[in-house]
Amino acid sequence: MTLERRYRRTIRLFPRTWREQNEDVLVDTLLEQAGSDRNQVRVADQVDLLRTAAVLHWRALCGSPVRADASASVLLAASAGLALMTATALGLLVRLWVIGFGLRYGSFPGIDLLVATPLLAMWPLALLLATTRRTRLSLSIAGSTTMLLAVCYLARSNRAFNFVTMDHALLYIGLPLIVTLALATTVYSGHQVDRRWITVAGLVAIPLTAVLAGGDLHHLWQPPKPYDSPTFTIVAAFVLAPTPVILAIGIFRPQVLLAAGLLCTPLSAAGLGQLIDSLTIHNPRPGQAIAETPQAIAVAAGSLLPTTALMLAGIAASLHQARRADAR
Amino acid sequence: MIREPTFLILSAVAPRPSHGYGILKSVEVLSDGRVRLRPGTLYAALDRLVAEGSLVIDSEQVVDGRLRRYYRITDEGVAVLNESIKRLESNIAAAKVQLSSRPGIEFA
Repeated sequence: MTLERRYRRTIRLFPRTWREQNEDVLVDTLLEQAGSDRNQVRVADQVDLLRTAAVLHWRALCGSPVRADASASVLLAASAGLALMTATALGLLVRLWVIGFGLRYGSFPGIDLLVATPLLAMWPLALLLATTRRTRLSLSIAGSTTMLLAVCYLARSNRAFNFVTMDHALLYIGLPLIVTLALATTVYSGHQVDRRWITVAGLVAIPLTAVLAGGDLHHLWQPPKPYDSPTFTIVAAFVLAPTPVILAIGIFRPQVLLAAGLLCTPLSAAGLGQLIDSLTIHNPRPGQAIAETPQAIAVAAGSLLPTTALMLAGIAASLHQARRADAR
Repeated sequence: MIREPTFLILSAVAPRPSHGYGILKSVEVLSDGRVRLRPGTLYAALDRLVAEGSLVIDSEQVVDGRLRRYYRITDEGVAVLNESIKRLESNIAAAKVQLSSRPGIEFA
């Protein structure tokens, strides 16, 4: 094997995009340095190449500042957030109508935690792909995951396989969503930003998802307890209290609005989930649940309005800023 | 503050555009043989310096069927280098003052 082939074999370990642009000139330098009388790669050069491969991979993942694809990231976060809200609304309606028509939850096929957990792990994956600029793939994963979760809501059973109650499900989606997509959007706003932060977010999100999923495993054999309305009130208070502060900051930093919207959505939906849970578990009579449908929808709409407004304002502001940055 | 290899790479391309192996040799000469960069390290550094705007790719030539790329320093790179020189000079001056105020030792 010639020296050149030996070098190229090692360089195959470098990041692909880097190789496409730099492999030939690196090989030229290596060969020029080696001279004509050598046919073996020096150990020191080999070690240096391996070290450089590691450095470049790390840099490609998170290190160097990048001019981010702002609009794509905004789209990713927005579609995920909106899909999440759709899933929530579907879940709420189905739950109410199933009770309303006196159907048993158990008559639906049960989709349990074992199905849900891998789905939830898709969020960090979507983020990871967003950082590698595979935006389309990232968007498809985020979108399809949310749709599958919505299907889980529709198909889940309330008794034996209450894989995740509404609030827990939203925590699974919400927490990784908060940490990953909100950060991704905030960071990917067209400025030169260090991708290290997104990597850190991903590293937080993945174990967090695992811990949450693990913590809920006992629901497989132990049905959850009914919720109380006071819990809902507390959650709602926590969600609504920071809104003025967020709006104030948002005047100077538009991306904060979007991040805040994403942050609030799962929390307010979690609060709603608890409310609906308490309504349906405490008042299981069909007629009563039907009567409470408008009330629940009104609460849902009211609760989701601020988060929707925040998110839409954030999306608009981010896009505007990205367009201005492009024009410059 | 840039590190020594970066300082030497910027110095090496300061007079005229230079290619990978040329930069390696210049760095070795400039550092009196102390710093010998390996090609992998060099290209990781060149890549970073281009991304930061201190260097640009000047031209590419095919020599003996192999691709050779020339790097040129930018105004930004010159500013970075000047800034480092100023810092080093001020450190040297400060260190000289410190040493000369030591009793019994004369600074040459």
